[in-house]
Amino acid sequence: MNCEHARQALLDSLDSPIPAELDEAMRNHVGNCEACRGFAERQRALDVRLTAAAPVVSLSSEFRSSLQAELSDHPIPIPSWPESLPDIAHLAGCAFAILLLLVALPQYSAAILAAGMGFTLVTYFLQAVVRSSLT
Amino acid sequence: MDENVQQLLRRKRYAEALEELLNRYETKVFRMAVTFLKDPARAEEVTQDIFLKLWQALPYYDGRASPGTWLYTIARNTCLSASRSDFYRKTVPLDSRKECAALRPAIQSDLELEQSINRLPEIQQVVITLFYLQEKRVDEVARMLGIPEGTVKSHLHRARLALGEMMKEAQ
Ligand SMILES: [Zn+2]
Repeated sequence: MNCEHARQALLDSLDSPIPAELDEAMRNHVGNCEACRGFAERQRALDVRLTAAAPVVSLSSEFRSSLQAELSDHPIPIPSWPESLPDIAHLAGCAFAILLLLVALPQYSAAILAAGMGFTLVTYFLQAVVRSSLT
Repeated sequence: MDENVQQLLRRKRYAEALEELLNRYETKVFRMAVTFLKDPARAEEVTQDIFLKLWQALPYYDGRASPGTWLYTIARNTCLSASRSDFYRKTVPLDSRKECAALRPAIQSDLELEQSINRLPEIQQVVITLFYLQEKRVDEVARMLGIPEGTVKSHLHRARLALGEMMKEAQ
């Protein structure tokens, strides 16, 4: 292991545990390399300082009660129609159009069914894209 | 636990879903706000705003991200716009008392370290402060900031190297 790899492994070990073999190789290198030993000591000391300096901050005891008061002032807005309504309206509209064409032009029933289904799928996809871009 | 929240949302049991999210995330979101706003009192106000926004958005949750990731997105956007508006408010000269409170850093009790951190680029300040405030979890910091874990690590490493150099100079 060279100096660069050893230092990288040392920095990685400060983020989260590293594999045992890598840890051992890093420690071996650091034990035998003066420059990396200085680097490791500085980085470990910095980690200890940062850990000690990070304050244990917590919310005040009134947080929940004052949030609760805010929440009751702002009742949750219930959507005025069910999520599935556009889907239902779209499918019902397409089915109605296909039925109407089948009754009017019974001789083309196979083509009407195929084209109708294709149209339904394509427009369903389009409206799904438009709706997801709105939210 | 996030799955539990998803089920509650699907059944439109919003109050219970909010309760679960508060139990799990209120401290994490608060620490995130402390990191961005550098003032615990202001951070608590903003944490309240975040959960209020979350509450009003619950019926529109679409399940594309987990509830926790979704909450972190709301939290991040709210913190950023709050810190921006605080920055503009700080330029009002009469408001000097508030200015002192707002400048109080998230890393306290080690003045020299705090000054060194303040010399880092802003993203490195945020990443290293969040990392040490959030029980040293790279994955959690990544989720909070909406960036890959690898990016969090590379900011952390750059911050560690820069701080190490500053410590060496100070010796
Ligand atoms: Zn070396």
